[in-house]
Amino acid sequence: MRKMFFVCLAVVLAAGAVLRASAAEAAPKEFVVGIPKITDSFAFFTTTNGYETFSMAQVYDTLVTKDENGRTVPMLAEKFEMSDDAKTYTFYLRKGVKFSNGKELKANDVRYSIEQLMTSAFTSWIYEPLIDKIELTDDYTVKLRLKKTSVSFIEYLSNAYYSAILSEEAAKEFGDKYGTTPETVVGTGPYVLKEWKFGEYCVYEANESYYLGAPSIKRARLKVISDVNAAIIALQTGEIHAFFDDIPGLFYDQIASAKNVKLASFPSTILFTSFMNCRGGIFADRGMREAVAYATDRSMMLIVGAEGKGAVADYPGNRQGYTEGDPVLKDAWTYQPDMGKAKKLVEEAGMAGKSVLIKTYATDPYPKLATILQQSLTQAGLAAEVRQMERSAFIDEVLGKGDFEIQICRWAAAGKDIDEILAGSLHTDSIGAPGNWSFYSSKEMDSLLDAAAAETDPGKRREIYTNVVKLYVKDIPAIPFYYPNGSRAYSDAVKAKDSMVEYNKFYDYAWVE
Amino acid sequence: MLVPMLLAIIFIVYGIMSLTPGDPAQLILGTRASPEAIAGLRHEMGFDKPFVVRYGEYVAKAARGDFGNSWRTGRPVFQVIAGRFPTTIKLSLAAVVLAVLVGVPLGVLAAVKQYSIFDVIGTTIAMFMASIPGFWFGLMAILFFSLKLRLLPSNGADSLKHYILPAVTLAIPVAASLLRLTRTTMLETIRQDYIRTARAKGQTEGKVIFRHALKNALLPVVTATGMEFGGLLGGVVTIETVFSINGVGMLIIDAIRMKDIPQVTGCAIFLAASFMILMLFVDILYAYIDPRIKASYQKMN
Repeated sequence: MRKMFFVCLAVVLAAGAVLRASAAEAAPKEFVVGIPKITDSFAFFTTTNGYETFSMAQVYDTLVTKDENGRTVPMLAEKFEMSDDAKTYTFYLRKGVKFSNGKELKANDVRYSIEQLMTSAFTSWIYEPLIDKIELTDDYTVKLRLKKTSVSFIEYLSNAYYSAILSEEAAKEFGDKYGTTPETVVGTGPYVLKEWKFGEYCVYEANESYYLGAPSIKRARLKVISDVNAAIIALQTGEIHAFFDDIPGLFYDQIASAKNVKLASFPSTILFTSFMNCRGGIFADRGMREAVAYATDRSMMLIVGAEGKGAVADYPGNRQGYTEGDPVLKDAWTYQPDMGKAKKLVEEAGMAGKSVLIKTYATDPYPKLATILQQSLTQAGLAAEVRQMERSAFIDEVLGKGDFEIQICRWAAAGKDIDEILAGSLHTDSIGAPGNWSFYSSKEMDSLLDAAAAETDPGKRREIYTNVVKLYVKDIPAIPFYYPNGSRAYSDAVKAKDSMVEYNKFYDYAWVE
Repeated sequence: MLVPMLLAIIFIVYGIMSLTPGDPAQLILGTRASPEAIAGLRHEMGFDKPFVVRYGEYVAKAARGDFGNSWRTGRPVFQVIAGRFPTTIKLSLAAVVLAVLVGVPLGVLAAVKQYSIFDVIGTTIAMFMASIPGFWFGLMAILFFSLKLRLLPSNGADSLKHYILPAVTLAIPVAASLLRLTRTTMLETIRQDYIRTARAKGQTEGKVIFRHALKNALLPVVTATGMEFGGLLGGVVTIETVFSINGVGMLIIDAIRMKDIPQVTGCAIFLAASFMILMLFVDILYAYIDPRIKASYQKMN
């Protein structure tokens, strides 16, 4: 009897051990990613598109996307065509693409999503002025007719911040509740949302039937880590495997010395700039703007602002050749630091000793940049002072109302096409909050920008942009400082194509065997 | 008392948030949003109305228990706070308990053995603990216990283990102030006549200290502990940042940055009410600790 008892006990224990082992095998390893913020909702069209975008970008796809060379390539659309006048785009959808609710993606879903993008408060500024009509030829063909020629339009559609294709049926079925719980999130993406703790983390599982191939990583967690210091330590301890935000230049050495963390960097789309008010005040005089151009040592700005991790830019969009349509002009900025010339120009303008207020944000690196500029302006003969401002007040007062003489801030491009960057920062129509933060207005510039936007021949387009850049350098509405490097740090437990990490998608990562 | 205090707090917070420059609609939608979209959102949030009208509407709704939805997340403000508060309360409670367990006994020891080695060491440690900046200590603790020894997690608040480093970091300055306070009040108490009487009656030193002296010396310590706890409930942004803990402190800072007025005001009301309730609890606790207070209440009744 006793022997029997022990035999039974041994069998039960062995079975338990086997079950446990198989359960352990069944649970896939979790890819943990830190990000400063997760989304408050998965209702794409009504949700802020900052860090929040990357909670959503794992479950939603776009019509087109970017490949590792930065080219726009098909995604939900298996191919797309642009008419010769760049006013009609035709998208041919892949057949058999399924949403996570099992329904097939059809042209009506694309129409619904684009209509939502046109009215969304977050994206209407892009699509509403551009799109005239959405036509469905059949269930798998969508034609977008534009109001005006736009070569850069496709750039927005490939960008996860500004585009996502949702299921019309699911969006209408759930109404206001759409995207508020994992059950109400329906996408075609490589991952499906499984768990979501508001403000803390999102857990995703691989969509095994994903049309571009099942994801290599089967389970992933996006976790809030707001501090870059904490993120770097967590990468080293193995608590997270990647961090979806830029690593400041200051930490590059720390990461280089950590054996188990890798860093991939790429030219960012953020241009640190000093804007001068061309509409009124002391810098309405071009001579004074030229004085600032001669007084400013832009290499110093790069060193101080980004620890030298980045590249000095000669004009907006001058991102080491990575901007679409960039004429890639060498040494376009003709003002080398020359305090003698700067002083002379200030004296000629009769402004010697005049007080100047530099406004900027109070967060790093702006106060440091402002201090360098203050020093330069003082040496040029002006009595410069710095006012650090809280972000909301700065946006309202300086960018919106133009109440400033000279200011330092960053111009972040949504896409990588030069049309958005130059028209956005120099066209009269963009004056104020939309991006022309110098309040600069020139008929010549406007007509050049309009002509470039309407030009479909790449060679001619580049030629026009060369003239835009020349006029920019001549008129000096702003002093372009530098584009800092964007960067992503990830653990050596995973591998990724370095050219893809900036898009913050789990799909681009795989475990190292 | 609670209601007028809350009204004053609402007025101050709502007023400051509304009258400082910055447009919440612009902040939420980004600088490049279309003017129509911004105007639409301003209208939806009621931000296009004059301050007095908005304030009046807010107070009227708040009186009915409706504190509105966060402008940024669209969720009811108290639902958002409720999501963050458990983490903050667990962390604060752990820190306070730890501080009391360390600070009070060491304070008693320092007082009882005044000018001894215990006193010198105790007060010196207290001085150090009070002077160390929390974020620095937190970072050092992470570097040592998480990165070097790999003993404890460096961030988050997922399990009990996650609370150890942040709770210790938070507890250190609180323990230091409790140590010094306990020492001072104990020193005062043990010189009282009734302590001499207790000793003269031949009671053991332990009984004299813990039954007669400590009980009387504890009153200011209890008040101080309550106030420290109340302060911690408001979240400690530096510690929450260092350890990536999504507590109430981070919520308030984010809401202030985004000019999310309903969320900021909601948080202020919630924290003020929590603080006041906590202080009420401390007052009640007095009666249990000090029979004289209990007796005076009984007399009044």
